[in-house]
Amino acid sequence: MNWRYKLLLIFFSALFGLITLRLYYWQIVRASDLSNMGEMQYGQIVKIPAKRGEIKTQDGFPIVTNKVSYTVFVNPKEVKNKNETSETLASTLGIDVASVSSSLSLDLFWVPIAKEINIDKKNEIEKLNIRGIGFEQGYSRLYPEASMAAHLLGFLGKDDNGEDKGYFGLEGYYDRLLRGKDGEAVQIRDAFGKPILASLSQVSGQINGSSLILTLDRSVQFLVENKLKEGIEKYGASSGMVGVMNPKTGEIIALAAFPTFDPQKFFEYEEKLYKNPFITDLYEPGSTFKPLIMSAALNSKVVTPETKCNICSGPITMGGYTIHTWNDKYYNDINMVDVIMHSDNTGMVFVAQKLGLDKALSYLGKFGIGTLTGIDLQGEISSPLKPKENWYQVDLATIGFGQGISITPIELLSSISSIANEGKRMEPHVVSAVEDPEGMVSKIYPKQVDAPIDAKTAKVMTEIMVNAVNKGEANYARLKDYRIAGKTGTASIPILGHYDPNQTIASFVGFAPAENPKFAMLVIFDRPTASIYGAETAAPVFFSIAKDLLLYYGISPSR
Amino acid sequence: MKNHKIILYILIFTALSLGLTRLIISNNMSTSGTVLGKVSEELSKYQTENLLLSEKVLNLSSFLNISKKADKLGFQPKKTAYSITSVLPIAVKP
Repeated sequence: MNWRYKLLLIFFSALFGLITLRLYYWQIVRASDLSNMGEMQYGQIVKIPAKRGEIKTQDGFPIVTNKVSYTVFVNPKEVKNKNETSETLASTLGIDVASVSSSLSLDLFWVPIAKEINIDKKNEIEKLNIRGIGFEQGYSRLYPEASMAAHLLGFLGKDDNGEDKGYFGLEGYYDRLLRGKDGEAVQIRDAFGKPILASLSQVSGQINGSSLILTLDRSVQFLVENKLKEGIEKYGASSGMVGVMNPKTGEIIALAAFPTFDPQKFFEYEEKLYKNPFITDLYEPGSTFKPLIMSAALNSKVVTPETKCNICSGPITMGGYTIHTWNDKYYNDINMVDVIMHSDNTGMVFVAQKLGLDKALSYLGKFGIGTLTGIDLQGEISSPLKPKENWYQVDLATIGFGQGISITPIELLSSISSIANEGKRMEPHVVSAVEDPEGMVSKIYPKQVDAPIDAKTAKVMTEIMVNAVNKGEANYARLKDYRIAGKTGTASIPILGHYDPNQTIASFVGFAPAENPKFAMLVIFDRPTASIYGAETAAPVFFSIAKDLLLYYGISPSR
Repeated sequence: MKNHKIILYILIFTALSLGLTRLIISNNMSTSGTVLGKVSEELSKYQTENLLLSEKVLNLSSFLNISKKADKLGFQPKKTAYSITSVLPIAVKP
């Protein structure tokens, strides 16, 4: 009897042990798999879209922000009358019937029909009560100021995978900072689809993008764009641009260029308009380059303001070329102050020759000519200076008056600003701070890049430029109550190996007030037809903007 | 014997009470999902409304809009400005 009892006991113990092992396997080893399977049955994975960071101007106004938009999707398997549904959706959304029809014929559970529709359109479609239609909320870009500073901002497009990607300007340069990361939430629901309180939803991975706070002054940008547009129309130019910078910090206060585009509807414009010409277009600066060469010569003491030019009594012939002044007027024994005042090309040839090629190249390097300025915008280019051994005598002569050299407008503005800033060259930048999704702000501090000239030379050069404004060919347009330093520029455009005398880049560069500059500005008109001269086109626009800026900043007249 | 009976009654009473408590709590929680669902929907609705109103505010406060309204109302750009102070000289000879 005993052995039967023991056998039964062993049998049931073994059975119990097996059951325990099996329970251990399902509840401990396979616990997470079973849990996931369960969640998939009664849990719903909800995508949490990340909000792209905003771009705000100096005053905190979000010049680029996000608005609610919807993706319309359809479950083709639930649509009964595909033809009628295609026509209804196509007419409501304003898209091709064929594309809707082809989407509805797919053997899928989820097919997008239209993206980035606004709430009004969404409500209109909802009222149609079409079976199988759903909406996914997301965000798209909003530009409350429309095309203001479009070149500076860039736009948001799509990459090869259909994901949002910034192109050009700030959207392109700071794309990684601005874009966030979509997350997922698993929400547990009961049989009726209602969320269950006892089980917490698990949210993972969602991070909103960081926002940018710009150095851009919205009021100044608005003013500059209006004045530039008026100027282009008045002087019949094919295009124009204006850059305003704080010379002491390198902060870009305003940057405008026309023609421009609407970043909200960038796809309706030609691609060539997307580039910011202030940082991508190379041009020969002409006489606006003269202050740089003169500063270099003064700083290296090869000339003084009183030095007299002994080769300026007539045109200069060199290397098969003849160099004239812009008005064919020549001044024997002209001094350096008057060379700038009269914008005398022969005088600048004299200065360039006195400076010599080695020093000229060295100073140009310190002024940042031929290198990227480092401005935080996507797309900046520069044209490196050719190697020393490739320079001819005539090349040295022509850079004295800003021809035979190609630079971008930002290079010129940045280098002239160093004269305004006691000889110190600052790195231009558009972003002053970055705000992370939690609200923590990280400032970006001004950065000094170089010091091409000393403070004394900068002061002397400033006075020479003030004299040029007061007594030069643009003196009629100047602001009589303020001391403004500036220089006109009328650069011939090289076309098919020669310079066309009837087509010019007319410009004016300067800073004010001269004794304590608050802003430096460059105005450029491409091929103005009303007059080819900078003194008659760019200069009046410069002074018109300067007048409003000086009032805006509350700067009292100096005389 | 009497003690055994008392313990048994206490155990039965405890089991019944716990069962009843569980029943009441489960009943309350079963409707909380509906409430949570409603709260989530309302929250989502207000968040969307908030965004839409922000969009409206930004469009209305943009310079583009303000300048259009100013033009309509007849505002003109200022032509002249007066300054009652001038920059102090660096040095003055008495």
